[in-house]
Amino acid sequence: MIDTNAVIENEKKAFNARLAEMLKEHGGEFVVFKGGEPVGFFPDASAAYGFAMDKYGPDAGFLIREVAEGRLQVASLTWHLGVSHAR
Amino acid sequence: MPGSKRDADKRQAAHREKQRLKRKEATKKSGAAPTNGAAASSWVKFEYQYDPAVLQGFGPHVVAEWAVPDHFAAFLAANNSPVPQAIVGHMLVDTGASSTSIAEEVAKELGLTQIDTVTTYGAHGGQTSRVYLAKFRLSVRDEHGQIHTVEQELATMAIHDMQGLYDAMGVRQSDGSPVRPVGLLGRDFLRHTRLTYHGTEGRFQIAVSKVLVRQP
Repeated sequence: MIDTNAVIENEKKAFNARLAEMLKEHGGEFVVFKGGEPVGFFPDASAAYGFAMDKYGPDAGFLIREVAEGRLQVASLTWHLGVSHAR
Repeated sequence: MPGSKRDADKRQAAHREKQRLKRKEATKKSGAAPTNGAAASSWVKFEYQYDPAVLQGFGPHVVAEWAVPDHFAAFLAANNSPVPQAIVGHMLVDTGASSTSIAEEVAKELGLTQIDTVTTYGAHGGQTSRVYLAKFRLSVRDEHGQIHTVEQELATMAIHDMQGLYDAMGVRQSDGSPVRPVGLLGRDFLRHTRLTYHGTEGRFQIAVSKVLVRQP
């Protein structure tokens, strides 16, 4: 069994190192990273996933991410602030 | 003055009724089929009725389901492995959520492929959340009995221990039955909708743009 989180963290490092370069031609597209390299660009996450599944299978460990500047991720303001179900 | 306000309300109600009858008459004359407001526009409306106290206590939930993406299902089938059944449950309609999220336990049960991680921030600091590719489906029956379905494959962030929180808080449906939370319906989906929250009557209406709706 591979450590998916560790693989994804490594692919994210490679993604971040190549981001500026990728933004020039692939901004807004979804990229598949495998082995520290971008192996394909796609219009949406579903298409990228289809490619990665066909090529590597579900357990190989790969990154699929939109080619975009990182931004603050907030799942839900209410959820994170703990007020969804406060009593 | 209260008397004046009552008179104004009566006048407004009479005016609205007059307008409604006018529209009805015009529809009759034109021979057009009566509409629910959705068929004539680009919206499909769904209405949910709750006990008002339940709506206030737990927020609007819609029944939806998560399933494995088509490519994953095909992979499993090709390898003679069983394809997990879609998991049906309740999604909290959350205008405070930037994106639609899946409950982590649902993602695990479906055996979804993790495709990314994100760091989320909140009152309790940062934490890492897994991102999965999953198929989301919302099927609802409109007032004419027709089923409409919204279906999307999307990269969705996982929410930790949603079931645990719901259990701890005793979240219940209007009939008292337990709720199985499967995620949050966030603004990436809600940007295609119009929402009406009628707190006093316990009604919640969601009108979905036909852009998203698969034709029955």
